Amino acid sequence: MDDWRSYDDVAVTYERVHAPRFAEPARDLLALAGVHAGHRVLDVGTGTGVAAEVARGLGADAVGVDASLGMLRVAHAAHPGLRLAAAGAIDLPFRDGSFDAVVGTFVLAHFAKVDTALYDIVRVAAPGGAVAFTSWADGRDAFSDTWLELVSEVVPKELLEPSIAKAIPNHERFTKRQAVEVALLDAGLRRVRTEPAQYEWSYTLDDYLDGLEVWAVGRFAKEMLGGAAWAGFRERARTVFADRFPDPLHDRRDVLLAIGIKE
Amino acid sequence: MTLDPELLRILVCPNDRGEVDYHEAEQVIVCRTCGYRYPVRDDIPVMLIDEAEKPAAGKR
Repeated sequence: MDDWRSYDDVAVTYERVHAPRFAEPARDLLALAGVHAGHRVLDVGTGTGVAAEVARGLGADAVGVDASLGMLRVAHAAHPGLRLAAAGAIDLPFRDGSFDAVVGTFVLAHFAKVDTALYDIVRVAAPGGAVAFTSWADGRDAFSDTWLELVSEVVPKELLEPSIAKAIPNHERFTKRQAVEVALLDAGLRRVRTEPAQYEWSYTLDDYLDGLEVWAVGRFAKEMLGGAAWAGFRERARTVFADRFPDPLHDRRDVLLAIGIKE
Repeated sequence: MTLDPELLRILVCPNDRGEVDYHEAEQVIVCRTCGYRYPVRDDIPVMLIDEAEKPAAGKR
């Protein structure tokens, strides 16, 4: 996978801009899942190893898997000794019941076949083990609205929307608490519940714009425009953002923390 | 480089969940039952069915 859908090329930026911030919801999710020293923990869609590294810091035996080798290479460099493997959420390369907790941060919406992925995730959880996910509760705020407005000036909507839907098939669906809970219940998990959480992250304007290149809309727009046009677009985006928002930007994000127990 | 033994202990083949062996010299992880060969790149096992080298038909 070396097309725009892949995270391979954005791994370094992800690690620099997003990973330090996403450690916070990862910590909350692991607390919700009751992870402690000696627990065997799998982090599905580990990216640059954020939640796996937090779990390791708690004394857990953590393993991180991701479909992107580019992300894992950065994870390996950033967290020496962290156990990593390239793997899809479907066909996880582990025996049944291998983990006391399986977690995924901001990955649920990426699964094209969410039922099949959850089935395999539940399979590798031990009986009594926790399966827990974070999911963005809302996709809209003044910053992302501005970004979408700018991108839609240069990339036709009829191209952008279906492409994004392919990259993150369940983005809208899993912003809803009920949809997340139903998916976990359908996967056979019990004692399913969600907790709302809110995070406030501060970014310099340049970091915020760099961070946008990591997500599907940015990756797609960059691919569509190509080198020189993209640089011009970034320059324009910077001007518009600087005009509308004070630097640094304070981004407040609503997140769902969801958990179920394998019986 | 060698792989973490604890990681090797819990890995199985994603294709048929068979036991796997790590061939360090070749940097490959091989399934004992289906014969799929998974590359190890930069110390990271690539346990993706799409990336596996499959045995020729009829051979195991």
